[in-house]
Amino acid sequence: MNTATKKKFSKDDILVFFLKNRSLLLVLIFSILLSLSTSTFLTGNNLMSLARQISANCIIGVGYTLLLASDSVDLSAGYMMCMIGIISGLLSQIEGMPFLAILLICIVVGAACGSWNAFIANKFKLPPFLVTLAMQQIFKGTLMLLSNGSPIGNLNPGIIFMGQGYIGPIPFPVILMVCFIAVGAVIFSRTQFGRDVIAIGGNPEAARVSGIGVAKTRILVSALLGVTIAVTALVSCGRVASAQTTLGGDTVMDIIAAVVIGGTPMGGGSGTVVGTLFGCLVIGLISNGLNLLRVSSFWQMVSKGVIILVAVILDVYSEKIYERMRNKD
Amino acid sequence: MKLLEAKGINKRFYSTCALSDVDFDLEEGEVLALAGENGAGKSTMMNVLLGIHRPDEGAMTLAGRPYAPKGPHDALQQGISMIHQELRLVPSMTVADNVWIGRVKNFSSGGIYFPERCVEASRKLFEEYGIELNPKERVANLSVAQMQMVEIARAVSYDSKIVIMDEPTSALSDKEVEVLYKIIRRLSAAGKSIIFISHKLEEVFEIADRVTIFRDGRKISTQRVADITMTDLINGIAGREVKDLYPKLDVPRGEKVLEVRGISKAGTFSDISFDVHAGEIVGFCGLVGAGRTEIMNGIYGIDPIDSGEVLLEGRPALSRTPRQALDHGIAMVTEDRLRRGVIVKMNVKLNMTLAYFYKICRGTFIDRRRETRDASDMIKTLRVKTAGPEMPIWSLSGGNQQKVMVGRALLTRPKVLILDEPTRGVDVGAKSEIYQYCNQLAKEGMAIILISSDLPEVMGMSDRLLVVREGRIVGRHSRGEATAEQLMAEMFGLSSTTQNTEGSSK
Repeated sequence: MNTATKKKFSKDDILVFFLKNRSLLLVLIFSILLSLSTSTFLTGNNLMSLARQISANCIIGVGYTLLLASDSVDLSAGYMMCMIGIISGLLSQIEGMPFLAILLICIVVGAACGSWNAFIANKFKLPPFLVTLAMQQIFKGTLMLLSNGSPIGNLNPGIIFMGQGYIGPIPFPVILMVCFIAVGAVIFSRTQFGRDVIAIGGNPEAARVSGIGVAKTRILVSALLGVTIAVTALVSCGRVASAQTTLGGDTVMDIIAAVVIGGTPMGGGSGTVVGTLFGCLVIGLISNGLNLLRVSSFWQMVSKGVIILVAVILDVYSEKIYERMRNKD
Repeated sequence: MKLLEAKGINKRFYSTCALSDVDFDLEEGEVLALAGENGAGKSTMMNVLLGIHRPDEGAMTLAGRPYAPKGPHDALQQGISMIHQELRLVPSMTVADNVWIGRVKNFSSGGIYFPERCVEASRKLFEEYGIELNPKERVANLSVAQMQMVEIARAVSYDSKIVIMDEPTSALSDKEVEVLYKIIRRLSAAGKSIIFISHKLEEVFEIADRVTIFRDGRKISTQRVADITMTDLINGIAGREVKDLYPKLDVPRGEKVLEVRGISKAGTFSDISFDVHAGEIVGFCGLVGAGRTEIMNGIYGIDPIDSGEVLLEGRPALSRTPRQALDHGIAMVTEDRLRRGVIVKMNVKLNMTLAYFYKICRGTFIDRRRETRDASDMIKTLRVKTAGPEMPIWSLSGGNQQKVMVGRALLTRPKVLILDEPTRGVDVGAKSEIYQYCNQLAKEGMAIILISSDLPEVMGMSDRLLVVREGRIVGRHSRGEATAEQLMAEMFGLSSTTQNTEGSSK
């Protein structure tokens, strides 16, 4: 940027920009703190592993952003992911099963489970919270039945590649993450479907009266979430080269925290996919930083909770400052 | 004696001036009406009185002492309560609980709440003011008018020195309006002051002692109601001569566009038949709850009908969802703007293009340039007062939000436009603008259905009038062939033989 355009920005403009993109500000603060307090943070290796760490949550985060923006919620995402992981493990055991078939089956299962959640909630007019609370148990039980309670190794090489592969110097999960973010952002802000989602989150009655198919859109949103869950399941299993039965326990809470910190409100009606990327980065930086600082894993849990709490409070607070500043001009 | 006095109040939002240098006073025991267009500053002034907004400049006194409320709760404790235009009730609680909300302590002993005491207190209050409500009924089961009465009862229950009523009659039928008038007269006789905001100017003359007119954030005048005429009042509000409130044009009647044949829905309406031609405005009158809105919801697919036929240009056009109706070319501006209309979190542009943007998608992508252009054009056409299409919808006044809703329907390029109470809570100027635009649309060949509880309005605007009572059409009249008294008699079911003055069209 040259100095001529720089001069146009006042201090207020910069403040407004960061208030609008609060999660980006948090990312910068954390990064600066970590690069000052550790010598290992700002190394290519660490940054790449950070990107890989957040890639799984970020892919689901894209689907979850749409879901939260439509004023819905899904508690079953973690166990759904785990179950799909187990399914991919079982399919890997079948002789001659091509990777593409496994991928396709997993995606179809994800989409079906997601649609099922939304379908039941719509059909019986139940809050998605309760439906997915129950479904979470069903998924958990199913995955235990399928796996007999023990992890499955010997995965298809394609799955391993999804978790551990590289294209050039860049890990494959990171490439996947970037693709999902890009496609998600375009769907969200540039298509009719994205607009429908925000409208439904803002006022479902008004949306319906304006000719938007509310039930249809909600089911589609959940199906898309299911697809992102399926892809993430393969990435996560591939990374450890085995389908674990304990995968995804904390996933839902981390993702909700990331999406909300990213700027999509719990009540729906607006949202940002790119913000979710920054939200995931914030969560990732917390784990990464605490690891680098050699904080014990139990303390890590506590401090992670505290930091998320502070981040959310800051979020609400800066929203108010932003409103006040807009009010002034 | 002056009970409340405000001097030199200034208030700005963003870059617009909401109140500039307003002096305002209220005497003890009087009914003061506030008149003015939407966005003239009435609501802002009331929000200042309630402490929702802090004025940028100016000072107030209440009963001679300085008054600077910190918020509605503080205002309430200093003796000012308000009936809000939008209902603020908890549907899952009883009438009594809603009336006495936040005051559970009054009905508790040793921390235990005794609901029956609360019910008893409500019963006494209702009796005193002639309100017909069952205190034990759940609010969710009430009609909108009854909910409004709960709001009124709540405001009265605080025994405040000043009661502010913001459009209290907009959801009430004539019978309940009478009850409200009685309540107001009682309060005033007991030395309480009332600030009464209404767009129905007849009500100002009916109930108020004085009237204060606001325009563009300024106070224009305060006069005794006895000293002025309706024309004075209208001209004061509009700031210009409004010659004809209902500027109906005579438009030649075109082809039959919409034909409704014997549609019914169990428990709400039965055997409704009518048709609407191009260039025609067909008005529906009836009491609140007579079934007018339900019939339109049936045609528009919000609550699908049980039986009967709907034809559009001779082809079947039965709609089971609003989307189907829009695809057929039927658009509707719904009555309940907050629940079924605006999306508060979206800006003006997105609210306006909500119903039509699926028509301008190139493939799966929204044609955003065209969307912005169409929205801006519509803002200009309807003269929506806003700083720009990107402004949040809540920054607009009620009348301008309503224009956005009309714009949303019109952007779908409908053949039939259904307007359900399009001017409720809308000021004289915007009303007249909306109607002039309706005329324009009719001239261009649109078929329009108009529902309004404002009798002079629907009589003035419609080519034909249909009267609905208890889910049936009980009267059909051509323009100018029925008097207001006749229509009222039909609406209330007073005349034993319903007349049919509709001429040649049958």
